[in-house]
Amino acid sequence: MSKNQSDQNASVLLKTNDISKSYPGVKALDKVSLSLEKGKVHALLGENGAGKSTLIKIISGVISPDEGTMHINEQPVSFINPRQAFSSGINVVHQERNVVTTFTVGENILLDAIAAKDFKIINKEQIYQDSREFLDMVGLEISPSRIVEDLSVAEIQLIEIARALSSRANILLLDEPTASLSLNEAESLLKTIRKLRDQGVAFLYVTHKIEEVFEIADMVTVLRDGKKVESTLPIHELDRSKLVSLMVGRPENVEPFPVRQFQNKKPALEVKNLKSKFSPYEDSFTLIEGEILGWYGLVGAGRTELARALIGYDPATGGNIYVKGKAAKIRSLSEALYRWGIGYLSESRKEEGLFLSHPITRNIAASVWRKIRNRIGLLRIGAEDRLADYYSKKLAIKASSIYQIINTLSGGNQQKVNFAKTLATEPEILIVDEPTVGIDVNTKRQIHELIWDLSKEGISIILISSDMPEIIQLTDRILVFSEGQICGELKNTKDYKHMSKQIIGLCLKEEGLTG
Amino acid sequence: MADSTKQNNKAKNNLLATAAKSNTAGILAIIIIASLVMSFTQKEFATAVNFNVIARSFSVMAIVGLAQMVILGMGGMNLSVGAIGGLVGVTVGGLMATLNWPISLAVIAGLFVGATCGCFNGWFINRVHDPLNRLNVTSFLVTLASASVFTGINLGMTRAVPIYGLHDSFISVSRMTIGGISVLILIMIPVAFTVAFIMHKTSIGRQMLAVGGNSRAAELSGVSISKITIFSNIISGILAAIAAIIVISRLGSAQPTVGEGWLLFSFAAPLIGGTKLEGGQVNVSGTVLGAVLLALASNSLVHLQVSVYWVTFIHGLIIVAAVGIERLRTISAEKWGTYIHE
Repeated sequence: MSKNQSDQNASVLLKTNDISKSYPGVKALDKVSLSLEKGKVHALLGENGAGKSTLIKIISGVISPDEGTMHINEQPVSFINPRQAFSSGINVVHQERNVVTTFTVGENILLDAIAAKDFKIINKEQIYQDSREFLDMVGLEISPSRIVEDLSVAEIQLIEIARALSSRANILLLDEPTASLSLNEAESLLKTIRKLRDQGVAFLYVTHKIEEVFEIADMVTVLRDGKKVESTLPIHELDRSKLVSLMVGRPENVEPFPVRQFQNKKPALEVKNLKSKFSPYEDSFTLIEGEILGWYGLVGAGRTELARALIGYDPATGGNIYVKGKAAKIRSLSEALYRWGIGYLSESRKEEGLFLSHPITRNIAASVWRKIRNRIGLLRIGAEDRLADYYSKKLAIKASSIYQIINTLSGGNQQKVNFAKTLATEPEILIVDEPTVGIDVNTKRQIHELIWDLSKEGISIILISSDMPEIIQLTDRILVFSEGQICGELKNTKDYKHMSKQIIGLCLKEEGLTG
Repeated sequence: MADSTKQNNKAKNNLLATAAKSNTAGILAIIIIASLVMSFTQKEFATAVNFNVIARSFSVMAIVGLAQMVILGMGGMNLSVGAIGGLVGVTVGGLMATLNWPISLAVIAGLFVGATCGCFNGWFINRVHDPLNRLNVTSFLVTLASASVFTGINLGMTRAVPIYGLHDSFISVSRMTIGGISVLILIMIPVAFTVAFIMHKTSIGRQMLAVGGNSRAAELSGVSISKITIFSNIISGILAAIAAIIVISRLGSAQPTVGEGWLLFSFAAPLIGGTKLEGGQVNVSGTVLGAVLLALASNSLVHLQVSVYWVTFIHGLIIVAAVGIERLRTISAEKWGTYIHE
């Protein structure tokens, strides 16, 4: 037994014990333990805000954990910067690309070496020769002297992996490496990973694609709201539906909102065969007045892309939109908002929704300056304050005053201000993208109530969410997205067991077709 | 369908890449055509005297352009090139005329002042830089302020009075010709070669371009952004100093106003020559040719007897065109480049 134990430990390269990390108002990671073994691929799954990127940041030394320890080769380590993690043999390929596009392939691969000495004459031929070894390792057949700028996303992805390998890393963290790749490109990347795995590299592989997990992973950890869902499971103990049900989680013990009927209501929005550059498949659907239409799908299923085509962010390249029966050509966000009354709340409220360093008043007024200014274009005295007062009360925004800076509010209250900002334009249709990501469970219910009340006031709402309980508790009807398009429509009976089975069925059917 | 668009994009990419690469050839062609047209229409244009007039002016412009190019390459900008030039000019002049320092010592002191000003810029940028901002915003503000500081020291010391009485042998250097070619070109060329060598062949030069190309990627690879900021600003300061020393030699006196008109040219020459405004890519020969083009344009305007008062306007147009072409090149490269799908 003890021999067996030590054998197992010998293959463990990295181990985290009960790592926790909190941000104001939300626990990003809660006692997460996992281990990466030599020659194994450890898949890490979970929805947005589940804590995957926080975990990667901690392992790679970008941030430090509040609690918990980390061991490499059974030696305790704690990193204060990425350089330290790096010299311990950990390398990360981030989701966003980190290459110098004006440099050659070889220079990018050996950038670490170039940075190591300042006053050294660079021999490009030597660099190209040295980098070839790593290009071969990732199976990329391009000249090291090519400029990165002209390469495809997949090739750049492989170059980043080659760069990670050039540092002789034996622990590689890959954050959604196939997110921007085509099927063929992804396939060849997986092949490379398998090869490196067989050479003894330990992988932590973050992905949203269930198909891939079964192709590549040796073990699987699912995170949800910062916690591990069950324990780490070896892949042979899982099948598709088990994995999906782990990812979407169990319903919390809260009452769903009542079932409503919309037989005699008119459509608020009809969309026929809409497509755009980023949403290439034609989609059609109808939104009834005063209903909450859920868009369910895993991240990357094409929901945000369709919404963006709808609101003119990525202008539509085909199809028709009818708002209250009138044909609408929507070419920009302001047209969607001010002419057609379609408001959109982005899933990244901090980047795309709020002015973080400004007070509540200015944030809410930002979308309606044209309404609250006087004839010569100055803001009417007190108008901002009146707006902020009204919406603070209406949405029960908790703040010391309406002049409080957004940054200092909790996530839930920030989201309420975000809602208020869009509501101030008095939209008739509201598209809400992942409204409760990164918001604690208690405030979640408040946001749900807010959405419900808005729909009762007659606003038609599209709720984009990858949170299964949220979709089932809140919506009247559900569109399921998969692989970039709508793959099914369900009437929501709000019976969790029944509905979740149907939704998962729709998701898997699509996966099965392409897989 | 996705494949065909990609191929299409690639084809466009290649076209643009070729266009960008042939930039140098394009400028050369414009220079040759313009020179030929001028030679045939204006009698005084194609003379050895006029050639050296142009040569003297573009030698200075080229070095000033390189001073800016180095900083553009690392993703910043240096609005104080002219102010550094002015301060170096009066320092060298003062040491030579008032304190009677030998030429070599005065010149070395001038280069040292340039390096110090650059070092100050770099240090100050590092002090106030917030990694969340772009480096060029910080360096814009810092060098805008430091330009005023350097000019202030210059005017405070000289009270705006030019310094005369430079050593004769120092003045005569800039008038020398070797085989009919102004010696200033013979100074500029090795300077340009040295800059090209640093930027393309040394580790620190590549690090500067890496920071300009993608500061995050550079940092993750262990490049020290603050060290690179200081180093590139020192190089920029030294180049501005060299240009200033040449100018006072040409003028025969140290005018406190040396460097006043440099700023626009310092951006125009590298941008015409294919250096990227947002960093990561520099082109030394392009910068030199950009300077030639600017000098040629100024000279032609004189020959065409365009009113002096309109010359500024036309300079402005040339620079607007230069910036516009650079932007067009970058934007179209981005538009047709492979986009990253969410």
